[in-house]
Amino acid sequence: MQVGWSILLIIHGILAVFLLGAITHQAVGAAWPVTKKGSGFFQSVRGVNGMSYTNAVIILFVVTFALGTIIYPTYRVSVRTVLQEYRFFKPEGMFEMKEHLLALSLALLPIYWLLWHKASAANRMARTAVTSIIAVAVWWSFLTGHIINNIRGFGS
Amino acid sequence: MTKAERLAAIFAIAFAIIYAPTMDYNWTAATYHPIQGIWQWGKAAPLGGGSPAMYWYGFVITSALGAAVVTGLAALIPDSLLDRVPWRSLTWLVPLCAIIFIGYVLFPYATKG
Repeated sequence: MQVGWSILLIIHGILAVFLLGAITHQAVGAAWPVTKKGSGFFQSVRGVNGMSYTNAVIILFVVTFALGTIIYPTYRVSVRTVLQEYRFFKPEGMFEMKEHLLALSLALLPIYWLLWHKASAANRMARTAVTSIIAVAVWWSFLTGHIINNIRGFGS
Repeated sequence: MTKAERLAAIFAIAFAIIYAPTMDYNWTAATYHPIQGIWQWGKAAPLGGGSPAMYWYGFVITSALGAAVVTGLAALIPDSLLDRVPWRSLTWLVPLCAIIFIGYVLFPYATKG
């Protein structure tokens, strides 16, 4: 049974990496678009077509979120109790923030899709802000998951 | 702004407005007891024997149902009235304020220990 949860956690982590890459490219491209053509790494990152990432971000977010909700009870029973026992309040608080950030981001997905589906100069500010909020939530969640896994993860 | 965009914005805004007090005051719609694998409606105390009670699923259910009701009611309001509200700005400003509020509520985690 323990092996099954570990496999789910690893899949959750791998999908989170894909999501992190996709949403970061899109957020950078939206917030810091290229103004003139050029070559190089940063120009390429800034010059991505954000629209092409939208469906992938939504699918990855929903699947990663769903896997997270499945393994969440294991965290609550086997990991959070240890964090409290050893008085690791900061990682515990980071995880609390992670679950709230992701819930709020989940509710933003319909408007996120519509803003990118009908991308225009008029909705650029809202599109950039919504994408950035989701990107920050994903980064926070990824780093928190990584820290929690370091404290009490696979094989501990 | 299309009607679909407006309603999606209203859903996100309503979700954030409902979610912030829900997590603070524990207005959970359901409680899950992970050791026993039991679901209970509303806020329930831990069942004992060291078993925790999980409320977060209930926070999401409370907020999603509440936001769905608000969005449904907003769909009945004439477009001419709703057009006067800056939905595009509110759709990210309100969730941002909710995040700041939640950060404030959780701040004791950063200072204790």
